[in-house]
Order: sequence, then C-alpha cells, then structure tokens
Amino acid sequence: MTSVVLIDTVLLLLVTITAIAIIEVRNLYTSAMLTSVYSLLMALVWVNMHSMDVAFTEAAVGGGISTILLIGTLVHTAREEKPLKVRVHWKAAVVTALTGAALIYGTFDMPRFGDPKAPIHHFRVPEMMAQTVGFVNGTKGKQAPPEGFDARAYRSFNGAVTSVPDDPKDTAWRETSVLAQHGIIVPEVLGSHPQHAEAGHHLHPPDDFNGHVPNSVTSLLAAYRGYDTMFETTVIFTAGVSLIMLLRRPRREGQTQKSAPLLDQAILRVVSKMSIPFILLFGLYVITHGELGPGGGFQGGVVIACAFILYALIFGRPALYRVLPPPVIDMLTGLGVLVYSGTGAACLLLGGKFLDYSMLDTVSPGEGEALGMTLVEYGVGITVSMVMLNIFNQLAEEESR
Amino acid sequence: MQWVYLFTAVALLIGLLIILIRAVVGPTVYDVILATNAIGTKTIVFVTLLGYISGRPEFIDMAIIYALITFITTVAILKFAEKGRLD
Amino acid sequence: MHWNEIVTTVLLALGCVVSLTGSLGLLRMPDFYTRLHTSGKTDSLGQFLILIGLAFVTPDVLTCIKVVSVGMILMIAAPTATHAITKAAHLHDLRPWTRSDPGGEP
Repeated sequence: MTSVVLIDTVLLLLVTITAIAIIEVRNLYTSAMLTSVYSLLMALVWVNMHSMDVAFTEAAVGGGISTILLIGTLVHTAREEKPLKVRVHWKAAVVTALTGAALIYGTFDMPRFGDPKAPIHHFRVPEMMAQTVGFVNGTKGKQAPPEGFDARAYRSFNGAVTSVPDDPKDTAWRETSVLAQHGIIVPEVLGSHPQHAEAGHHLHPPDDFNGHVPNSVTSLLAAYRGYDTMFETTVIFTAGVSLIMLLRRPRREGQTQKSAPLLDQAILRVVSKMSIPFILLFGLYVITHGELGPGGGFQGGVVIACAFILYALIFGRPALYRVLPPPVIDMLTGLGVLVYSGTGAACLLLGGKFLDYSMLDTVSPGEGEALGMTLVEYGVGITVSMVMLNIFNQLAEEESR
Repeated sequence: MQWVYLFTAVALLIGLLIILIRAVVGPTVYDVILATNAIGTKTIVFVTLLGYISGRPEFIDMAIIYALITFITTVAILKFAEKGRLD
Repeated sequence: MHWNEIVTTVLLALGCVVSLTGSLGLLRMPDFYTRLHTSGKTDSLGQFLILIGLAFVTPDVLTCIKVVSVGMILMIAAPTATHAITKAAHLHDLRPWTRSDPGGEP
C-alpha cells in the first residue's frame, strides 16, 4: 500500500462522511457550509492524484464561489429544510441502487488506478508531457526552429503520413517522409509508438508547443480542443445573460441602494482591505501563468470575482458599484468572449485556420501558440469573473427589493 | 524523510476527522463556522504536505489559493450569520 | 540525516502535537467560546510550525518564499476569521458556559 493509496482511502472516507452529513442535516445553512468542506476535501483528493488543474478548479469554484452563491440563495429561502413525509421511496431507491450498481460494474472495465498501461499514457499525452511534439527532436525546453525550417510548409502540413516501412521499428522512414522534405523533423517519440506509423494514420497537425507551453492541460484545453473551450466560455456568457434577463429589474429614479456593510468589524475590514489587492494580483498570476503551471482562465477568473465579492461583503454593494458599475460589468462579460473569438479571427486573417495560434508569431510557431493561449485565457478569465460577479449581484439585489 | 511527512499527514487527517465530527454535530451555527474555518486551515497545510510527499513542492500555488478562498468563504458565511444578507 | 532534516522533523512533530491538541479541544470542550479558545490559537500556531518546518527542506528559493508567504497569510487570515466569528457570536448574545449555566443560544 503506497502512501498515495493510503491518503486517498482516508480522504475518500472523510468525503463520504461529509456527503452523508450534507444529506442528513436539516439546517440548510449548516448544509451549505458542509458543501464547502466537501469541496475542500475533494480538492485534496485531486491534489493527491496530481491533477492540479482540477484541484484548482474544485477549490476556487466548489470551495469558494459556489458556497457563497448557495448562501446567497439561502437569503431567499428558509433556513430549515421541511421534514419529509415519506421516509423511504422504495421505487426510487431500487432505481438508484440499480443505476449505482451498473455504474460500479462499468468501472471494472476502466484501467486500474495508476496503471501504466492505461490508454492515456500511450496516445497523445506522452508527446505533450515530453514536449516533443512539433519539430523539437526529443529535446525539452524552448527551441529555435532548425536550420532550413520552412514555416509556411510547417503550417500547411496536414499531417498525412505517406511512406510507411514494413517494420514499425525501422525509423528510417522519418528521414524520407513528406515532413522531412518540408524541413520538419518528426519527433523521436513517434518511433517508440509504432501505431503512429501505420498506413493511413494521420499525425496530429503541427500545432504544438515546443516547450513554450509546459502545462499540457492548458495546451489541451486551449489549442487541441480550443473550439470546445470557446463554446464553454460562450455557455457561461449565455448563463450570465439569461440571469440578467430573468432577475434584473430596471431601477427606478431616486431609489436608494439598501446595503448592510460589515464596517463595525474593524479588524476584518482592515485585513480585507489589505488583502484584496493581493487576491487580485494572484488571480492575474493564475490566468497569466496558466500555460506554465496549474491554473488558467476559469480558476483565475473565479479568484478575481472572489476579490470583488469580498469587497462587496465588507463595504456593501453600492461601494462595489462605484468601482465597477453594472453597465461596465455587462460590457466586460461580452468582452471576454470577444477576446477569445477575436484571437481566433486574427489567426484566420493572418492566413491560418480559426484558432491556429501559431500564426500569431511569424518566426517561431511555438511562441505564437503561447501568446495565443495567454490571450484566450484572458478572454475566459474576464467572462468568468464578470458572470460570477453578476450572479452574486443579482442574488443580493433580489433580496433588497 | 518520507516517513516524517507521512506521519504528519496521518496526524492531520485524524485532526480533520475530529473537526469534521464537530462540524456535523454543531450544536450552534458558530460551532459549524469555526469547524469549517479550522478544516480550511488544515487543508492548506495538507496540500503543502502532499506536495512534499510526492516530491513536487510547486503544489504550493494550490495552498495560496486555498488560504485566500477559505478566508473569503468564512467572511461570506459570517456576514450571512450576522446580517442575514450578503450585500 | 542532514541538519535541516532534523529541524524539519522536530518542527513537524511539534506542529502535529499542537494541532492535534487543538482538534481534540474543539471536540471535547463544553461550549463555543472554550472551543474557540483551543482551536483558534493552536490552529494558527500548529499550521505555522508545520509550514516553517517544510520551508527548511525546500530545494529552491521561490518555493521557499511561497511556503513562508502561505504561513504569513495563515497567520493573518486565521486569527482575523476567528476574531470575526467570536464577535458575531458575542453580538448575537451567545452565552458562555459556566458551572451553573450550560450556555447556548438565547
């Protein structure tokens, strides 16, 4: 039993206790707080499994913003849950038990925990982890393009492998392939994965990052499935817009904002005032640092939203509106999506495909990728933070009418 | 050194379990807030420790975000307890 | 064992003892204020000891600075939160425990 498994077992036990407690506790306020505890413990599980980006999101979204929003909903509802009339609904219990059993049965087909033979360790991820995709020949770190490198051919290459040897271990084909004729060196790692050299197999288009984007999660999210992330951002934007349409009422002239700032708590006020700039700075760091380490637009956006929410909590919402008036929040919500799709359109105008960031740098495609991803992360961050702030404002405003 | 980290981790986990019991039992709302806050502090240290156990101390970024986020959550919970509203 | 590993071991052991004491106090004490008294102090001190202990075995300077800064954030944020909770409880007339009065919410 390794230390990872030991810690994992104990943590999952704690998570289960918390989950049962959330269901059993009648007081909704306690239950909201236990949800925050649940998220914190779950984030520990993710950290233990080394999935830092997921842990980041779980801590920022689950432990932070969703707890605050749950408490915001509590403002509108009762504090106590109504007692249930029927203790056990047998039909529902049977269906739930069967679904659970089927799901558990399904997990038997999954690779074991930490199995080195799992598909994830074989297909594309090793290349991304080793930073050997693109023209870097099995080396790590930032690389200048090789001598005689033809950037135009590199970008127009569609990934088709034409000549394939009979013996998969024979790597001579790489020197004679289409890629080599265009001045593109095929990474070493392909030779160790013979399935890449099968007839008709397409190499992934050379959109890769050459040590410019060491965090493979960000390169997956922002480039490999960049369209997906763009539409996720759009979904968040749509959620923000529909929330405004549902909850926001036009403000009448002369109506004063009600609020209850926490100004009587002097120590809390001073400490918050001091820490808000650091929280904002850290949020920007998380967004900007996304391609180098754990983090990115979603997490950083949530952290920035939390900083503004802290300001509203301590000094009241009118003070927040003096810093960020509602029209500005609305405009920034749209601006984030615009930055994301604008980056894609810029790539299109520069002669590449939509969201092909390598177009952004004429000399080094890798630098272009890094630049494009940073821009995109900023777009995501702006939209996410402003939508979260909007939800908070609407929840608080509903109550004060 | 690995054993030292592991013993510390187990001690922290036992502490987490004990505090969790207090968070579930209550009895007053303030007890639950206090326990939630204590769990937050424990998890911060635990994340840092996990970084050292797995030999990747750069996990510390996580600990910073935990420290900031749990503080904000505690303030929000507290404000609701004190004023019954969030703005 | 190198000297810094010995320092770390001692600090981690101390931190464990202190924070376990605090957790036990949180469970065993009779009312909110006494629980706060144990957990508020030991939490900050225990976590700070563990973090400082870990800082001694950190390989590079940047991570070391980050570990110490997490400790500093904790040293500022945790007592602030505890103080604010106490003040809120006190303002809501939560009565402290005495021999004759079990305390509790008004």
